[in-house]
Amino acid sequence: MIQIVVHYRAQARVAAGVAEETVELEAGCTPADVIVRVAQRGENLKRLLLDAEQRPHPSLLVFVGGEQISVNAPQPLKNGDVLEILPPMSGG
Amino acid sequence: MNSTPENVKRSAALTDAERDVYTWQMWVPDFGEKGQQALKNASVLISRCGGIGGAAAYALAAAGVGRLVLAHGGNVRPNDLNRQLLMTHDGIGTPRVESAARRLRELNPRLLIETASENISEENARRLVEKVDVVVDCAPLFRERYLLNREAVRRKIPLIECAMYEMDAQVTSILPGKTPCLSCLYPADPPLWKREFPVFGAVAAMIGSLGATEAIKIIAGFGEPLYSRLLLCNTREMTFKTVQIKRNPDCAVCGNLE
Repeated sequence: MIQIVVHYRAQARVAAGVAEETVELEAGCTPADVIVRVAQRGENLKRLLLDAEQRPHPSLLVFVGGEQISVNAPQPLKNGDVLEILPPMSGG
Repeated sequence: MNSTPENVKRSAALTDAERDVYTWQMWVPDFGEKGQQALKNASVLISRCGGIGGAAAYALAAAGVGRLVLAHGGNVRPNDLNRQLLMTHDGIGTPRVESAARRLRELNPRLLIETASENISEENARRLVEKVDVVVDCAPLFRERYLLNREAVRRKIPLIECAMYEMDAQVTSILPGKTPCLSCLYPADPPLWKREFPVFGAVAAMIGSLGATEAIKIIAGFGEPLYSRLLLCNTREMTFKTVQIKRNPDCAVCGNLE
């Protein structure tokens, strides 16, 4: 198992109810695996993060270690990686 | 659509009165009189002059941008007033762009202002974007933002993307063909975004001012704009950072642009 630190921003932080958390997943997990896992925290977060097929929504910006990656990239994460989830925001 | 008689690009030299007003900023290294002249000759479209756009417009008017095009539909409502700093209580029930234009002219009577009392739409996006050198996107609805992005990419003009939610805000500058465009970042319409959301006017004004700073730098050609960088502001914790963002080679809007 490896530990991934998840940072939530903006709407994701409100929906998650926390700014960050550490989750444990199997070695070899991808950012999409992490997002699908944390989406189970609650219905609001699930609706924000996942599309109709229960895959990470393509409108999410995701950064690993400060580097932007495609939300569904098959990139395996490493123990201790920081994954940042940033849903879209706009003006008003 | 309401426009000033001088709805044309200007290239007049700075007057002594203008040099007097802009003295402090002309002291900024790499800006100077040349930068001030560039601002005077520039036109900027601001899509919605509410919380973010109003602050951006105010800062650009103060800085001496020659011409602003303001697009914002509807009348001032009481719940605009916590953040839309160009709106006033006595303007409730009157068009937002009229309040905005009045406040901006009080600040800078030399400013040319063109107002459109309508939000960005399929019908007006191309016409409005064709009038300007730079666009500042402050609209709440993604359909408006995608239209502006499409037209800015088509014309290859800079587009500054300002956004906020609750105590978070972000800004990036788009140079079509060189940096990610809005559709690179958000290829699909966000599922849960609503026009109304929690935010303070102070957060809106902060990100609007940062957007205006980007416009000033881009127009005057100095400093390092947020090209391919996204500035993330977390005002709850007062942490700010920039992250690199990437073009999407398969982007439907800018993927074929070089």
